[in-house]
Amino acid sequence: MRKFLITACAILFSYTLFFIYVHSKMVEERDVLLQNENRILETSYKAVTQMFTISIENYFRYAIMQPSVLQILHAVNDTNDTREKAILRGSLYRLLYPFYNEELKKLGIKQFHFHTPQGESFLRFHSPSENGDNLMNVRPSIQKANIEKQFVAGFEGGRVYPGFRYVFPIIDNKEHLGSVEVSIAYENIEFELAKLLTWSDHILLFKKSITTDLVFDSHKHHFMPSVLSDDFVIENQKISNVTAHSIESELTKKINAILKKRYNIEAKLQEGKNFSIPLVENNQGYVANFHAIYDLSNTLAAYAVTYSHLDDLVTIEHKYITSLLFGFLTFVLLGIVLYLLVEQSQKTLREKIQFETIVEKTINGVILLNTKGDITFINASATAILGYSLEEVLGKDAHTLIHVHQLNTTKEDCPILNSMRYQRTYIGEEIFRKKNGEHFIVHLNATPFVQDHHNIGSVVIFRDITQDKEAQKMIEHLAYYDSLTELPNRKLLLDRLNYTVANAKRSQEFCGILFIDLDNFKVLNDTKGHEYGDILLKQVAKRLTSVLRLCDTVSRFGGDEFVVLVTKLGEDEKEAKEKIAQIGYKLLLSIVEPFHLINFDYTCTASIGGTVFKDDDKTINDILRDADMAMYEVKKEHKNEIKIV
Amino acid sequence: MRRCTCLFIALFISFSLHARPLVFAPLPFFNSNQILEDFFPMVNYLEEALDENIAFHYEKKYDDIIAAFKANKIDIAYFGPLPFLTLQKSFPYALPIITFHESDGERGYRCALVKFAGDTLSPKATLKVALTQPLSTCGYTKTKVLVNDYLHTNLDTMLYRYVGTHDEVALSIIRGDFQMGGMKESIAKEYASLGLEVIQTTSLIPGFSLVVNTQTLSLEQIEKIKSILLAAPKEVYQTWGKDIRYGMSETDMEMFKHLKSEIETFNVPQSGSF
Repeated sequence: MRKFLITACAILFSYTLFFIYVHSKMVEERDVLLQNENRILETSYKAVTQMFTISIENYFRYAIMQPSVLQILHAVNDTNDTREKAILRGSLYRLLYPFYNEELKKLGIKQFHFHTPQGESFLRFHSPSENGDNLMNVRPSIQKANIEKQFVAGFEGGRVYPGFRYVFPIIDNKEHLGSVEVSIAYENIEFELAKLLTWSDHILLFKKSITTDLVFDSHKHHFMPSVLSDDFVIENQKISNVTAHSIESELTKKINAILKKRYNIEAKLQEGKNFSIPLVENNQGYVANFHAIYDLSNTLAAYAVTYSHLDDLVTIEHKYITSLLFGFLTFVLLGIVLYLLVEQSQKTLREKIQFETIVEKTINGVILLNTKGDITFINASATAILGYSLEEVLGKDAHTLIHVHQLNTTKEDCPILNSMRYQRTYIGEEIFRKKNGEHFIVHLNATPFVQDHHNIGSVVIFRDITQDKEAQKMIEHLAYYDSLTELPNRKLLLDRLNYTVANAKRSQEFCGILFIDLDNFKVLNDTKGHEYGDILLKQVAKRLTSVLRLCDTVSRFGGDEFVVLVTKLGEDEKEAKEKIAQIGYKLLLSIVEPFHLINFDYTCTASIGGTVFKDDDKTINDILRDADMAMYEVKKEHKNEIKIV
Repeated sequence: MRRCTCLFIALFISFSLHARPLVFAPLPFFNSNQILEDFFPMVNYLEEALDENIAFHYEKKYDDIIAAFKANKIDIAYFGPLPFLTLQKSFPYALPIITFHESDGERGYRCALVKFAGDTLSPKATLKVALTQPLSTCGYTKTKVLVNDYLHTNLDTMLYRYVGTHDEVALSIIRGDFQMGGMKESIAKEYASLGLEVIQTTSLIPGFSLVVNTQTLSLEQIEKIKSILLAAPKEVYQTWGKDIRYGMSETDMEMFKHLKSEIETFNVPQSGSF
């Protein structure tokens, strides 16, 4: 459960990072798209406001600054008579009306306005009956043109229309005659924007401060509240039909409703920056672009706004949702894999610990070899057995370093390397060499590592069996030799007799046995104790062994009985019996010599019965019985004698 | 059966008429924005008070407004006295209910003969006279009287042309397209700052009125409209258009009697003389 929770937390954390990354990428891609949309709007607005600049400057130079106009303006400056001023105003209207009607109106420019040097409205061609109002305090452009006497261009509110102003100071012969303004009304801007932004609905969103708070009362109804903000108004579509289509369009209404519902659009509008809001609803992409328009006093005056479909938003959203889904699936899979890996890793670690514990704690030597036969791992037992340190063996060729090859075995013949080569386990005994050069026998198991039918190495587990071998020898010795006299025991004698019987059939030579029983041995034991008897038996055994040939076998058959197996007695029975009798006498002679038993010398005799055998039907029991019986006969008669049957 | 048919037709007409919003026709105009700007605040006020939508019906000539009114396409119209009398002659269902006051508070207005102060009048035969429209009170009908009084000349012997609106009469004279013109005195005064001067005026004639169509509006509706407008506070109607911002009173039909008899003696030409 803990592992699962840790894995789940790790995956959740990773997926959170992935989500943040993907989301940031989506926002980045969407922002690029939106910036592009906003740039189009910004460029369109600039194009619209700047397209008139050259024409208007030319008009000012060649149509307005003509002598007849200047003459009227001089006259206006020179008189205080209201009637005369009115006639001059009418005359100016009469003079420039053809220009206004035929040139400016054709360009779509309605606002053509003369001001006095004091900033009063002198003549509005777009509203001739409205004049005389002072604009100095409400129109920074007029203030600048008449006080600083500079050309001014920029967006601005007004008594009749907000719009983009071009205000020229009129100076003739160093006399300041006022100013003239040619303006593109907001309606013109909207009309021209409509030509450029054909695929979108668009409106101008005006600050109240430059519209309803500024215009003549009779013009206030040009504007109506915006649904987006109480601080902004839009053109009243009932008055002008330029943006009526956009205001009434379902798209505009829909986007405005979403903006109002989901976004703090009012606060966003107060920031006075260009911004675009992407909207996706019912699998439809929309964008609302806002281009901030600043007036000549560098105050936010309006926003040019476009509303359009933007299906790329849906495409981007789909793309990233797909990425997130695929990512989710990938992370779930990764989680499962990670969980299994952790599980497997822990299992492997557990197994490794177990393996290392086993390997380190085992008394067996464990060596891992690579395919070349180099040692890649060696456990503590192995280094202890071999007498090497770890550094001295790692990477060394095991075949050369520790393997002793009695028959000058080459690598190709090495059974350990061959086990790897032929991908089979080798179990056997080999001789290894210690660091000090000492050889010792090991029982080893060499098992190759096979992966995809290829060797990747081998594990050699070995055990020093020198002591085992010695113990085995001891056991074998105890099994076949008498522990007191070191002579072959009854078992070994019977084995050899069996063998000799079998061999005698092929060799055609006689063999024989001598059954020797010490006389009066029991008396010695009873009188002096078993210790003296044992010493006697040992010394008898030595004398018997010293007398016999190497090919003969003398054994302790039990108690004070010895049996001698004599071979190679010739093919003739008589001669064979003579030869065995001679041997018997030698034995007797050897026995009769005094024995020194601890603290005294002891003289003893023996009774010997013998028999010979060759290719006949005698079994070993028959042979032993015959010899035994012959010995008993001697014992009965006079002892210290030999009888061969 | 006959009764049923009549009832069905009546119900059908009633249903059809009420299926659309109320329709208001302002003065005929060439420049839609200006006229619209003048009447929009009042219509907007009515809309809110009645809680009904009111649509604008635009025409360039009185004739067309009269035709639309008679065709029950218009419920409320802003008429000068002459067009109203012309309409009523052939369509007795037209009823003036509210008369708008002039800037001086009068319930009627005067027509004025105007000229540009900077111009010297040329010989009568070459003088060009600007008129509003054939059915405008200050158009042919009253200008003929004014010319006769001022120049002792019959307008029919002079060069005259209809230019559409009172403002256009003023501006066309200032521009020098015409030397004289007939228009509402109150409007003429607005152009005094451009050198337009009044040279002759008529006696008081009934003011411009709001005329309702009693065929399309119920008595209840008509009463409601009348009471709403008459109750409009000064601060409200002061923001309305230049011709309707000086107050209102219930129309006095007696005021139309003199004009009615006067127009019966004239045969108003439908087009200019040049």
